[in-house]
Amino acid sequence: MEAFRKNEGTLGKKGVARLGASCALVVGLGGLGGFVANGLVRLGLKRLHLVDCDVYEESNLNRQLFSSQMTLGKKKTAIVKKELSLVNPRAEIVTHDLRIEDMTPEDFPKEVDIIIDAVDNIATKLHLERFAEQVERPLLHGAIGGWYGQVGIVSPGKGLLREIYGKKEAGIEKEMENPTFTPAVVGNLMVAEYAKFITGNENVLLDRILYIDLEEQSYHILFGKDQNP
Amino acid sequence: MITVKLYAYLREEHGKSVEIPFEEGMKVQDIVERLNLPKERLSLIVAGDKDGMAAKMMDVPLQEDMVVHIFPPVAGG
Repeated sequence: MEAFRKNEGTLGKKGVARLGASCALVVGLGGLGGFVANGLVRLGLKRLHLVDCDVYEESNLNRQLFSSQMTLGKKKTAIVKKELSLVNPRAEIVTHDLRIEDMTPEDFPKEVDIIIDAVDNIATKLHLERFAEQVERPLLHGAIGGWYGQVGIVSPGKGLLREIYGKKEAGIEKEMENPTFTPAVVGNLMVAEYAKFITGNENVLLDRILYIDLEEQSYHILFGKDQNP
Repeated sequence: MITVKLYAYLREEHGKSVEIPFEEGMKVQDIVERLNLPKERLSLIVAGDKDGMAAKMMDVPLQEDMVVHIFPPVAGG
């Protein structure tokens, strides 16, 4: 398709074809989720499942891609589907207006290659990690707060998020909140990891975590070595 | 000297970077205690070429001139 031809130079014809057969479940359509959904459709994925039960609010306008004066008060799933269908009418976008806690493993669409964590709190992230283990899918995790973010893909059973978050109730986002730029940067890093995962690129952040500080532009990849500290 | 790089709210008391004189036998835990960092609010630590969950990094031995990064949890979306 001409629409995705410009991805071929980087991802190859085979890669673009693989992406064109791929399917993702994005959970959370806030700061991260909007950019992730946008990126996946522009990568040319086949089918996108969106999970969120919120409507756009004025406080979203600083950072959430599809929030505008026109969309305030409207369901995020419906707006993201409408906007991205204009980008690629062939992308099949399926909306789930519910909390992920209300999706059972039986409800899970089996065609999904990878589940995407774009939710905004630790309890839901931990639930999502358990859910991904139950349905035996990898979890592409993203998180943001202030100048900071982290990205990585968790294999089923690794329990990386349980270890990272432990019994913590919240992260730095509680104090620093979320500025305009961090969701866009981290959301699009998640899109890059999706592309690498689907196309079989060996550099994918599988069971590794990239920790990002946009203030000092410092980037650390953790768990990159076979080591037990 | 050990250079300790701190991030987000961990900077409130000590700033972005602190230098601590190296002592033989020093571990990550000694730094955390010396700086009085709240253990329950630490997420990930990089110490030289080792990295991992903060809780599992406490016994990692330090060496002269090592740089230690201490990250708090981030969980927004």
